[in-house]
Amino acid sequence: MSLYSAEILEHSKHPLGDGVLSDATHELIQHNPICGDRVQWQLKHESQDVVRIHHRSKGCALCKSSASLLFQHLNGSSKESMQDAIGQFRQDLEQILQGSTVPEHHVAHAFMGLSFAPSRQNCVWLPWDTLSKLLLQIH
Amino acid sequence: MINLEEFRSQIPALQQEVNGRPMVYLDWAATTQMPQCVIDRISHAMQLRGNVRRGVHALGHQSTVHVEQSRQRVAEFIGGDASEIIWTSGTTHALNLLAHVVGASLQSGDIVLISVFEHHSHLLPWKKIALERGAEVVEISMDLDGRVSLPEIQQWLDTGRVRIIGCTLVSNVLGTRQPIEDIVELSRSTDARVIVDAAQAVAHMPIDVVKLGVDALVFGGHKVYGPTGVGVLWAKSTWMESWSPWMLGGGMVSNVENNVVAWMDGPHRFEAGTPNVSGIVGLVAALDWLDGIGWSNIQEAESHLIEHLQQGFNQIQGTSLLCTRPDIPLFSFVMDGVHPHDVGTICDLSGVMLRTGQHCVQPLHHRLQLDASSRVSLSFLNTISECEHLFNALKQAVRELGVVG
Repeated sequence: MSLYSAEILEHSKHPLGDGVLSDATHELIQHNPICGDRVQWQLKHESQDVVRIHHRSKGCALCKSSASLLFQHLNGSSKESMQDAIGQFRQDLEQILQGSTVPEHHVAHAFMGLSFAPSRQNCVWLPWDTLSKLLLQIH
Repeated sequence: MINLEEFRSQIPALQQEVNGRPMVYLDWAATTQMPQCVIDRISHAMQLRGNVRRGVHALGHQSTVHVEQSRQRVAEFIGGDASEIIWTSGTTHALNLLAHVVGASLQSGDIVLISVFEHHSHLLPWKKIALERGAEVVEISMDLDGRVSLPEIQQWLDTGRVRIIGCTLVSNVLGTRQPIEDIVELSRSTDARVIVDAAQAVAHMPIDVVKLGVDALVFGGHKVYGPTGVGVLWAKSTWMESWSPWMLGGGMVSNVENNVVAWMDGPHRFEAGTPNVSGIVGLVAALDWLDGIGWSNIQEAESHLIEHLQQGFNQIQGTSLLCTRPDIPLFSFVMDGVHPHDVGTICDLSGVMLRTGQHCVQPLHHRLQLDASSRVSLSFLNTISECEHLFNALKQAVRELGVVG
Protein backbone atom coordinates (compact mmCIF):
# COMPACT_ATOMS: atom_id res chain seq x y z
CA MET A 1 0.00 0.00 0.00
CA SER A 2 1.35 3.42 -0.94
CA LEU A 3 2.06 5.79 1.91
CA TYR A 4 0.90 8.68 -0.23
CA SER A 5 -2.48 7.33 -1.32
CA ALA A 6 -4.95 9.46 -3.24
CA GLU A 7 -6.95 9.87 -0.02
CA ILE A 8 -3.93 11.13 1.93
CA LEU A 9 -2.93 13.52 -0.84
CA GLU A 10 -6.45 14.91 -1.17
CA HIS A 11 -6.66 15.57 2.57
CA SER A 12 -3.20 17.16 2.64
CA LYS A 13 -3.96 19.45 -0.26
CA HIS A 14 -7.43 20.40 0.96
CA PRO A 15 -7.48 19.77 4.71
CA LEU A 16 -10.89 19.70 6.36
CA GLY A 17 -11.43 21.74 9.50
CA ASP A 18 -8.49 24.01 8.77
CA GLY A 19 -9.12 27.45 10.18
CA VAL A 20 -9.77 29.53 13.24
CA LEU A 21 -12.62 28.82 15.64
CA SER A 22 -13.64 32.35 16.59
CA ASP A 23 -15.53 31.32 19.73
CA ALA A 24 -13.01 28.72 20.92
CA THR A 25 -12.88 28.07 24.66
CA HIS A 26 -9.64 26.08 24.66
CA GLU A 27 -6.59 25.78 22.44
CA LEU A 28 -3.24 24.03 22.31
CA ILE A 29 -0.24 24.15 19.98
CA GLN A 30 2.36 21.40 19.67
CA HIS A 31 5.49 21.17 17.55
CA ASN A 32 7.54 18.33 16.18
CA PRO A 33 11.05 19.56 17.08
CA ILE A 34 12.69 17.39 14.43
CA CYS A 35 11.01 18.94 11.40
CA GLY A 36 9.27 22.07 12.63
CA ASP A 37 5.74 20.75 12.05
CA ARG A 38 3.17 22.67 14.04
CA VAL A 39 -0.38 21.71 14.94
CA GLN A 40 -2.87 23.97 16.68
CA TRP A 41 -6.24 22.67 17.82
CA GLN A 42 -9.01 24.92 19.07
CA LEU A 43 -12.21 23.63 20.57
CA LYS A 44 -15.54 24.87 21.85
CA HIS A 45 -17.19 22.72 24.47
CA GLU A 46 -20.85 23.30 23.63
CA SER A 47 -22.52 20.58 25.70
CA GLN A 48 -21.83 17.17 27.22
CA ASP A 49 -22.28 15.61 23.82
CA VAL A 50 -20.82 18.18 21.48
CA VAL A 51 -17.29 19.44 21.17
CA ARG A 52 -16.55 21.48 18.06
CA ILE A 53 -12.95 21.54 16.90
CA HIS A 54 -10.76 23.31 14.33
CA HIS A 55 -7.08 23.09 13.54
CA ARG A 56 -4.26 25.00 11.90
CA SER A 57 -1.68 22.52 10.72
CA LYS A 58 1.62 23.46 9.18
CA GLY A 59 3.77 20.57 8.11
CA CYS A 60 4.16 17.55 5.91
CA ALA A 61 1.48 15.77 3.91
CA LEU A 62 1.08 13.08 6.56
CA CYS A 63 0.62 15.53 9.41
CA LYS A 64 -1.89 17.68 7.54
CA SER A 65 -3.90 14.75 6.21
CA SER A 66 -3.96 13.19 9.66
CA ALA A 67 -5.42 16.38 11.17
CA SER A 68 -7.95 16.57 8.35
CA LEU A 69 -9.08 12.96 8.83
CA LEU A 70 -9.33 13.48 12.57
CA PHE A 71 -11.58 16.49 12.02
CA GLN A 72 -13.71 14.62 9.51
CA HIS A 73 -14.38 11.77 11.92
CA LEU A 74 -14.50 13.48 15.29
CA ASN A 75 -15.78 17.05 14.95
CA GLY A 76 -19.02 17.41 16.90
CA SER A 77 -18.47 14.26 18.98
CA SER A 78 -18.45 14.18 22.76
CA LYS A 79 -15.23 14.43 24.74
CA GLU A 80 -15.48 10.76 25.72
CA SER A 81 -16.04 9.63 22.13
CA MET A 82 -13.03 11.64 21.01
CA GLN A 83 -10.85 10.13 23.72
CA ASP A 84 -11.98 6.62 22.80
CA ALA A 85 -11.29 7.28 19.12
CA ILE A 86 -7.84 8.68 19.87
CA GLY A 87 -7.05 5.59 21.95
CA GLN A 88 -8.22 3.34 19.13
CA PHE A 89 -6.14 5.30 16.61
CA ARG A 90 -3.02 4.85 18.75
CA GLN A 91 -3.67 1.12 19.04
CA ASP A 92 -4.18 0.87 15.29
CA LEU A 93 -0.93 2.73 14.62
CA GLU A 94 0.92 0.21 16.79
CA GLN A 95 -0.67 -2.61 14.79
CA ILE A 96 0.37 -1.03 11.51
CA LEU A 97 3.93 -0.49 12.73
CA GLN A 98 4.11 -4.15 13.69
CA GLY A 99 3.09 -5.09 10.16
CA SER A 100 -0.49 -6.06 10.94
CA THR A 101 -3.56 -4.81 9.15
CA VAL A 102 -6.39 -2.77 10.67
CA PRO A 103 -10.09 -2.81 9.67
CA GLU A 104 -10.84 -0.75 6.59
CA HIS A 105 -13.45 1.35 8.40
CA HIS A 106 -10.90 2.55 10.99
CA VAL A 107 -9.41 6.00 10.38
CA ALA A 108 -5.90 4.63 10.75
CA HIS A 109 -6.41 2.39 7.74
CA ALA A 110 -5.50 5.39 5.58
CA PHE A 111 -1.99 5.16 7.05
CA MET A 112 -1.32 1.47 6.38
CA GLY A 113 1.69 2.60 4.32
CA LEU A 114 3.41 3.66 7.55
CA SER A 115 4.68 0.11 7.87
CA PHE A 116 7.18 1.06 5.13
CA ALA A 117 8.17 4.31 6.83
CA PRO A 118 7.93 3.81 10.61
CA SER A 119 10.05 6.89 11.27
CA ARG A 120 7.07 8.99 10.13
CA GLN A 121 4.71 7.84 12.87
CA ASN A 122 5.23 11.07 14.81
CA CYS A 123 4.01 13.10 11.83
CA VAL A 124 0.74 11.16 11.80
CA TRP A 125 0.37 11.07 15.56
CA LEU A 126 1.05 14.76 16.29
CA PRO A 127 -2.53 16.03 15.56
CA TRP A 128 -4.08 13.21 17.63
CA ASP A 129 -1.67 13.68 20.50
CA THR A 130 -2.31 17.41 20.52
CA LEU A 131 -6.08 17.01 20.63
CA SER A 132 -5.74 14.34 23.31
CA LYS A 133 -3.86 16.77 25.55
CA LEU A 134 -6.27 19.60 24.76
CA LEU A 135 -9.25 17.49 25.82
CA LEU A 136 -7.69 17.09 29.25
CA GLN A 137 -8.30 20.82 29.74
CA ILE A 138 -12.07 20.26 29.66
CA HIS A 139 -13.51 19.56 33.08
CA MET B 1 43.60 9.80 -10.47
CA ILE B 2 43.44 6.74 -8.23
CA ASN B 3 40.68 4.15 -8.44
CA LEU B 4 38.12 5.31 -5.90
CA GLU B 5 35.99 2.22 -6.51
CA GLU B 6 38.63 0.26 -4.61
CA PHE B 7 38.22 2.50 -1.54
CA ARG B 8 34.45 2.40 -1.85
CA SER B 9 34.54 -1.39 -1.79
CA GLN B 10 36.34 -1.19 1.57
CA ILE B 11 33.22 0.24 3.26
CA PRO B 12 30.80 -2.56 4.23
CA ALA B 13 27.83 -0.21 4.68
CA LEU B 14 27.99 0.81 1.03
CA GLN B 15 27.51 -2.79 -0.08
CA GLN B 16 24.09 -3.00 1.62
CA GLU B 17 20.56 -2.88 0.25
CA VAL B 18 17.78 -0.80 1.78
CA ASN B 19 14.11 -1.30 1.00
CA GLY B 20 15.17 -3.90 -1.54
CA ARG B 21 17.35 -1.46 -3.48
CA PRO B 22 21.08 -0.70 -3.50
CA MET B 23 21.70 1.84 -0.78
CA VAL B 24 22.47 5.35 -1.96
CA TYR B 25 23.85 7.03 1.13
CA LEU B 26 23.77 10.82 0.90
CA ASP B 27 23.83 11.73 4.58
CA TRP B 28 27.57 11.79 5.27
CA ALA B 29 27.31 15.12 7.08
CA ALA B 30 25.17 13.44 9.72
CA THR B 31 27.56 10.54 10.07
CA THR B 32 30.13 8.93 7.82
CA GLN B 33 30.43 5.20 7.17
CA MET B 34 33.51 3.34 8.35
CA PRO B 35 35.94 1.39 6.16
CA GLN B 36 36.71 -2.19 7.17
CA CYS B 37 40.25 -1.29 8.26
CA VAL B 38 38.80 1.07 10.88
CA ILE B 39 36.34 -1.55 12.10
CA ASP B 40 39.19 -4.07 12.31
CA ARG B 41 41.42 -1.71 14.29
CA ILE B 42 38.58 -1.01 16.75
CA SER B 43 37.85 -4.70 17.04
CA HIS B 44 41.49 -5.50 17.74
CA ALA B 45 41.69 -2.80 20.41
CA MET B 46 38.59 -4.24 22.09
CA GLN B 47 40.04 -7.74 22.15
CA LEU B 48 43.08 -6.77 24.21
CA ARG B 49 41.89 -4.14 26.63
CA GLY B 50 43.68 -2.45 29.47
CA ASN B 51 43.03 0.81 31.28
CA VAL B 52 45.30 3.74 30.57
CA ARG B 53 47.87 5.39 32.85
CA ARG B 54 46.74 3.28 35.80
CA GLY B 55 48.43 -0.13 35.85
CA VAL B 56 51.88 -1.54 35.36
CA HIS B 57 50.81 -4.63 33.46
CA ALA B 58 51.34 -5.16 29.75
CA LEU B 59 47.79 -4.48 28.59
CA GLY B 60 47.56 -1.25 30.58
CA HIS B 61 50.86 -0.14 29.13
CA GLN B 62 49.73 -1.03 25.61
CA SER B 63 46.52 1.00 25.93
CA THR B 64 48.44 3.97 27.28
CA VAL B 65 50.82 3.78 24.34
CA HIS B 66 47.90 3.56 21.90
CA VAL B 67 46.20 6.61 23.37
CA GLU B 68 49.33 8.73 23.53
CA GLN B 69 50.55 7.73 20.07
CA SER B 70 47.10 8.51 18.74
CA ARG B 71 47.28 11.94 20.35
CA GLN B 72 50.50 12.53 18.45
CA ARG B 73 48.94 11.27 15.22
CA VAL B 74 45.90 13.57 15.53
CA ALA B 75 48.21 16.48 16.26
CA GLU B 76 50.10 15.74 13.04
CA PHE B 77 46.80 15.55 11.14
CA ILE B 78 45.67 19.03 12.19
CA GLY B 79 49.06 20.69 12.58
CA GLY B 80 49.17 21.13 16.35
CA ASP B 81 51.12 19.65 19.22
CA ALA B 82 50.15 16.46 21.05
CA SER B 83 50.09 18.33 24.36
CA GLU B 84 47.26 20.43 22.95
CA ILE B 85 44.92 17.53 22.13
CA ILE B 86 42.14 16.66 24.59
CA TRP B 87 40.14 13.49 23.95
CA THR B 88 36.39 13.94 24.19
CA SER B 89 33.36 11.81 23.41
CA GLY B 90 32.61 13.90 20.33
CA THR B 91 32.15 17.42 18.98
CA THR B 92 29.30 18.20 21.36
CA HIS B 93 31.33 17.16 24.40
CA ALA B 94 34.27 19.23 23.19
CA LEU B 95 32.17 22.35 22.70
CA ASN B 96 30.46 21.95 26.06
CA LEU B 97 33.81 21.46 27.74
CA LEU B 98 35.12 24.62 26.13
CA ALA B 99 32.10 26.70 27.08
CA HIS B 100 32.35 25.48 30.66
CA VAL B 101 36.07 26.00 31.26
CA VAL B 102 36.28 29.25 29.31
CA GLY B 103 32.85 30.51 30.34
CA ALA B 104 33.90 30.45 33.99
CA SER B 105 35.89 33.62 33.38
CA LEU B 106 33.13 35.50 31.59
CA GLN B 107 31.91 38.59 33.36
CA SER B 108 28.83 40.73 33.22
CA GLY B 109 28.80 42.73 30.00
CA ASP B 110 31.10 40.37 28.11
CA ILE B 111 30.01 39.30 24.64
CA VAL B 112 30.21 35.92 22.94
CA LEU B 113 29.82 36.19 19.17
CA ILE B 114 28.27 33.11 17.60
CA SER B 115 27.71 32.79 13.87
CA VAL B 116 24.22 32.11 12.56
CA PHE B 117 25.58 28.85 11.10
CA GLU B 118 26.39 27.26 14.43
CA HIS B 119 25.03 23.86 15.31
CA HIS B 120 22.97 23.86 18.50
CA SER B 121 25.89 22.09 20.19
CA HIS B 122 27.95 25.25 19.76
CA LEU B 123 25.19 27.78 20.41
CA LEU B 124 23.40 26.33 23.43
CA PRO B 125 26.34 25.85 25.82
CA TRP B 126 27.29 29.50 25.36
CA LYS B 127 23.70 30.66 25.79
CA LYS B 128 23.49 28.80 29.10
CA ILE B 129 26.84 29.93 30.46
CA ALA B 130 26.28 33.53 29.31
CA LEU B 131 22.95 33.62 31.11
CA GLU B 132 24.59 32.37 34.29
CA ARG B 133 27.47 34.86 34.08
CA GLY B 134 25.50 37.93 33.00
CA ALA B 135 27.22 37.91 29.63
CA GLU B 136 25.54 38.18 26.24
CA VAL B 137 25.48 35.89 23.22
CA VAL B 138 25.21 37.80 19.95
CA GLU B 139 24.31 36.05 16.72
CA ILE B 140 26.33 37.13 13.68
CA SER B 141 24.43 37.10 10.40
CA MET B 142 25.66 36.11 6.96
CA ASP B 143 26.30 37.74 3.64
CA LEU B 144 24.67 36.80 0.33
CA ASP B 145 27.37 34.20 -0.39
CA GLY B 146 26.54 32.21 2.74
CA ARG B 147 29.51 33.44 4.73
CA VAL B 148 29.59 35.05 8.12
CA SER B 149 29.44 38.85 8.06
CA LEU B 150 32.91 40.23 8.74
CA PRO B 151 31.76 43.88 9.04
CA GLU B 152 29.32 42.82 11.72
CA ILE B 153 32.09 41.03 13.64
CA GLN B 154 34.25 44.14 13.35
CA GLN B 155 31.43 46.31 14.73
CA TRP B 156 31.10 44.15 17.81
CA LEU B 157 34.86 43.88 18.28
CA ASP B 158 34.98 47.68 18.32
CA THR B 159 32.94 47.63 21.54
CA GLY B 160 35.91 46.02 23.32
CA ARG B 161 33.53 43.58 25.03
CA VAL B 162 33.92 40.51 22.83
CA ARG B 163 35.66 37.60 24.60
CA ILE B 164 34.79 34.69 22.31
CA ILE B 165 34.06 34.30 18.61
CA GLY B 166 32.54 30.93 17.74
CA CYS B 167 32.30 29.92 14.11
CA THR B 168 32.04 26.73 12.15
CA LEU B 169 34.69 26.02 9.53
CA VAL B 170 32.08 24.66 7.11
CA SER B 171 28.33 25.18 7.50
CA ASN B 172 26.37 21.95 7.86
CA VAL B 173 23.40 23.58 6.11
CA LEU B 174 24.99 25.62 3.31
CA GLY B 175 28.28 23.78 2.82
CA THR B 176 30.19 27.05 2.69
CA ARG B 177 33.67 27.37 4.17
CA GLN B 178 33.78 30.29 6.54
CA PRO B 179 36.52 32.96 6.39
CA ILE B 180 38.17 31.87 9.62
CA GLU B 181 41.54 33.41 8.72
CA ASP B 182 39.84 36.80 8.25
CA ILE B 183 38.05 36.47 11.58
CA VAL B 184 41.36 35.70 13.28
CA GLU B 185 42.90 38.74 11.61
CA LEU B 186 40.07 40.98 12.86
CA SER B 187 40.44 39.64 16.39
CA ARG B 188 44.21 39.97 16.51
CA SER B 189 44.29 43.36 18.22
CA THR B 190 41.65 42.34 20.79
CA ASP B 191 41.28 39.91 23.68
CA ALA B 192 38.77 37.80 21.76
CA ARG B 193 39.48 34.09 21.31
CA VAL B 194 38.41 32.25 18.17
CA ILE B 195 36.83 28.80 18.52
CA VAL B 196 36.19 26.72 15.43
CA ASP B 197 33.82 23.79 14.96
CA ALA B 198 35.48 21.70 12.24
CA ALA B 199 33.01 18.79 12.33
CA GLN B 200 31.83 19.36 8.76
CA ALA B 201 35.23 20.27 7.35
CA VAL B 202 37.43 17.49 8.66
CA ALA B 203 36.41 14.88 6.06
CA HIS B 204 36.69 17.25 3.12
CA MET B 205 39.78 19.43 3.45
CA PRO B 206 43.16 19.54 5.17
CA ILE B 207 43.16 21.45 8.44
CA ASP B 208 46.13 23.27 9.88
CA VAL B 209 45.37 24.96 13.18
CA VAL B 210 48.60 26.96 13.04
CA LYS B 211 47.85 28.37 9.61
CA LEU B 212 44.27 29.09 10.61
CA GLY B 213 45.57 30.94 13.66
CA VAL B 214 42.60 29.95 15.82
CA ASP B 215 42.64 29.38 19.57
CA ALA B 216 40.65 26.14 19.65
CA LEU B 217 39.23 23.69 17.16
CA VAL B 218 37.00 20.63 17.61
CA PHE B 219 35.70 17.68 15.62
CA GLY B 220 34.20 14.24 16.17
CA GLY B 221 35.41 10.86 14.98
CA HIS B 222 32.23 9.77 13.24
CA LYS B 223 32.36 12.80 10.92
CA VAL B 224 35.65 11.60 9.45
CA TYR B 225 35.08 7.89 8.69
CA GLY B 226 35.82 6.97 12.31
CA PRO B 227 33.66 5.69 15.14
CA THR B 228 31.07 7.48 17.26
CA GLY B 229 31.89 8.25 20.89
CA VAL B 230 35.24 9.89 20.30
CA GLY B 231 36.21 13.46 19.50
CA VAL B 232 39.02 15.96 19.64
CA LEU B 233 39.43 19.31 21.30
CA TRP B 234 42.58 21.08 20.22
CA ALA B 235 43.49 24.30 22.02
CA LYS B 236 46.58 26.47 22.23
CA SER B 237 48.58 25.21 25.20
CA THR B 238 49.04 28.72 26.56
CA TRP B 239 45.28 29.10 26.71
CA MET B 240 44.61 25.59 27.98
CA GLU B 241 46.98 26.17 30.92
CA SER B 242 44.66 28.85 32.25
CA TRP B 243 41.62 26.56 32.47
CA SER B 244 40.43 24.75 35.56
CA PRO B 245 39.27 21.17 35.14
CA TRP B 246 35.61 20.50 34.42
CA MET B 247 34.94 16.82 35.02
CA LEU B 248 36.80 15.35 37.95
CA GLY B 249 37.87 11.78 38.62
CA GLY B 250 40.55 9.24 37.94
CA GLY B 251 43.40 9.92 35.57
CA MET B 252 43.36 13.73 35.88
CA VAL B 253 45.05 14.26 39.26
CA SER B 254 48.69 13.87 40.27
CA ASN B 255 48.19 14.12 44.03
CA VAL B 256 45.21 13.86 46.37
CA GLU B 257 45.74 14.44 50.09
CA ASN B 258 43.59 15.82 52.90
CA ASN B 259 43.68 19.42 51.83
CA VAL B 260 45.72 19.19 48.68
CA VAL B 261 44.69 18.28 45.18
CA ALA B 262 47.10 18.68 42.32
CA TRP B 263 45.79 18.36 38.78
CA MET B 264 47.72 16.68 36.01
CA ASP B 265 49.40 18.93 33.50
CA GLY B 266 48.28 19.40 29.93
CA PRO B 267 45.32 17.68 28.32
CA HIS B 268 45.09 14.87 30.90
CA ARG B 269 43.65 17.39 33.34
CA PHE B 270 40.49 17.40 31.21
CA GLU B 271 40.21 13.66 30.68
CA ALA B 272 38.68 12.34 33.88
CA GLY B 273 37.65 8.70 33.71
CA THR B 274 38.61 5.91 31.36
CA PRO B 275 38.89 7.16 27.79
CA ASN B 276 37.31 5.47 24.78
CA VAL B 277 40.51 3.63 23.85
CA SER B 278 39.05 1.61 20.98
CA GLY B 279 37.35 4.73 19.63
CA ILE B 280 40.58 6.71 19.76
CA VAL B 281 42.42 3.92 17.95
CA GLY B 282 39.60 3.76 15.38
CA LEU B 283 39.71 7.50 14.80
CA VAL B 284 43.42 7.33 14.03
CA ALA B 285 42.83 4.38 11.70
CA ALA B 286 40.36 6.55 9.80
CA LEU B 287 42.87 9.40 9.54
CA ASP B 288 45.49 6.96 8.25
CA TRP B 289 42.99 5.66 5.70
CA LEU B 290 42.25 9.19 4.49
CA ASP B 291 45.95 10.00 4.25
CA GLY B 292 46.39 6.93 2.08
CA ILE B 293 43.87 8.33 -0.38
CA GLY B 294 45.22 11.87 -0.36
CA TRP B 295 43.44 15.22 -0.19
CA SER B 296 44.05 16.04 -3.84
CA ASN B 297 42.22 12.86 -4.92
CA ILE B 298 39.41 13.46 -2.45
CA GLN B 299 38.92 17.08 -3.46
CA GLU B 300 39.10 16.34 -7.17
CA ALA B 301 36.36 13.72 -6.83
CA GLU B 302 34.24 16.02 -4.68
CA SER B 303 34.58 18.90 -7.17
CA HIS B 304 33.11 16.68 -9.88
CA LEU B 305 30.23 15.75 -7.61
CA ILE B 306 29.53 19.39 -6.72
CA GLU B 307 29.44 20.33 -10.39
CA HIS B 308 27.15 17.44 -11.27
CA LEU B 309 24.77 18.22 -8.43
CA GLN B 310 24.63 21.90 -9.36
CA GLN B 311 23.59 20.97 -12.89
CA GLY B 312 21.20 18.25 -11.79
CA PHE B 313 19.29 20.34 -9.28
CA ASN B 314 18.65 22.88 -12.05
CA GLN B 315 16.61 20.22 -13.82
CA ILE B 316 14.28 19.50 -10.88
CA GLN B 317 11.07 21.45 -11.19
CA GLY B 318 10.27 23.81 -8.31
CA THR B 319 13.49 23.17 -6.39
CA SER B 320 15.46 25.96 -4.73
CA LEU B 321 18.95 25.49 -3.34
CA LEU B 322 19.76 27.30 -0.09
CA CYS B 323 23.27 27.80 -1.46
CA THR B 324 24.25 27.25 -5.08
CA ARG B 325 28.02 27.31 -4.58
CA PRO B 326 29.05 25.21 -1.59
CA ASP B 327 32.68 24.34 -0.89
CA ILE B 328 31.92 20.70 -0.07
CA PRO B 329 29.43 18.38 -1.82
CA LEU B 330 26.53 19.40 0.42
CA PHE B 331 23.32 20.94 -0.86
CA SER B 332 20.29 21.91 1.19
CA PHE B 333 17.11 22.57 -0.74
CA VAL B 334 13.38 23.10 -0.59
CA MET B 335 10.77 21.97 -3.11
CA ASP B 336 7.64 23.98 -3.88
CA GLY B 337 4.71 22.52 -2.01
CA VAL B 338 6.51 19.35 -0.92
CA HIS B 339 7.49 19.18 2.74
CA PRO B 340 11.10 18.05 3.37
CA HIS B 341 9.90 15.07 5.42
CA ASP B 342 7.84 13.85 2.47
CA VAL B 343 10.86 14.34 0.20
CA GLY B 344 12.94 12.31 2.64
CA THR B 345 10.44 9.47 2.80
CA ILE B 346 9.96 9.20 -0.96
CA CYS B 347 13.73 9.18 -1.41
CA ASP B 348 14.13 6.59 1.36
CA LEU B 349 11.59 4.30 -0.27
CA SER B 350 13.77 4.55 -3.39
CA GLY B 351 16.87 3.61 -1.41
CA VAL B 352 18.21 7.17 -1.30
CA MET B 353 19.08 8.41 2.18
CA LEU B 354 19.17 12.12 2.82
CA ARG B 355 18.59 14.41 5.79
CA THR B 356 15.45 16.42 6.40
CA GLY B 357 14.51 18.91 9.10
CA GLN B 358 16.46 21.79 10.57
CA HIS B 359 19.79 19.97 10.86
CA CYS B 360 20.16 21.23 14.47
CA VAL B 361 20.50 24.80 13.20
CA GLN B 362 17.17 26.47 13.91
CA PRO B 363 18.47 30.07 13.93
CA LEU B 364 19.67 29.79 10.33
CA HIS B 365 16.36 28.33 9.21
CA HIS B 366 14.54 31.17 10.96
CA ARG B 367 16.86 33.63 9.25
CA LEU B 368 16.01 32.03 5.89
CA GLN B 369 12.31 31.98 6.88
CA LEU B 370 12.11 28.22 6.50
CA ASP B 371 10.49 25.64 8.77
CA ALA B 372 12.77 22.92 7.46
CA SER B 373 14.86 21.85 4.47
CA SER B 374 16.18 18.72 2.82
CA ARG B 375 19.92 18.12 2.61
CA VAL B 376 22.14 15.85 0.59
CA SER B 377 25.73 15.54 1.75
CA LEU B 378 28.14 13.41 -0.23
CA SER B 379 31.48 11.75 0.24
CA PHE B 380 34.17 11.52 -2.43
CA LEU B 381 33.07 7.87 -2.59
CA ASN B 382 29.65 8.68 -4.01
CA THR B 383 29.19 8.29 -7.73
CA ILE B 384 27.55 10.20 -10.57
CA SER B 385 25.17 7.26 -10.93
CA GLU B 386 24.06 7.76 -7.32
CA CYS B 387 23.39 11.44 -8.05
CA GLU B 388 21.12 10.28 -10.87
CA HIS B 389 19.27 8.01 -8.42
CA LEU B 390 18.73 11.05 -6.25
CA PHE B 391 17.37 13.14 -9.09
CA ASN B 392 15.02 10.36 -10.18
CA ALA B 393 13.70 10.12 -6.62
CA LEU B 394 13.20 13.89 -6.44
CA LYS B 395 11.35 13.87 -9.74
CA GLN B 396 9.15 11.14 -8.32
CA ALA B 397 8.46 13.34 -5.27
CA VAL B 398 7.32 16.14 -7.58
CA ARG B 399 5.15 13.71 -9.56
CA GLU B 400 3.57 12.11 -6.48
CA LEU B 401 3.06 15.14 -4.30
CA GLY B 402 3.09 17.97 -6.80
CA VAL B 403 2.42 21.49 -5.66
CA VAL B 404 0.23 21.55 -2.59
CA GLY B 405 -2.09 24.51 -2.63
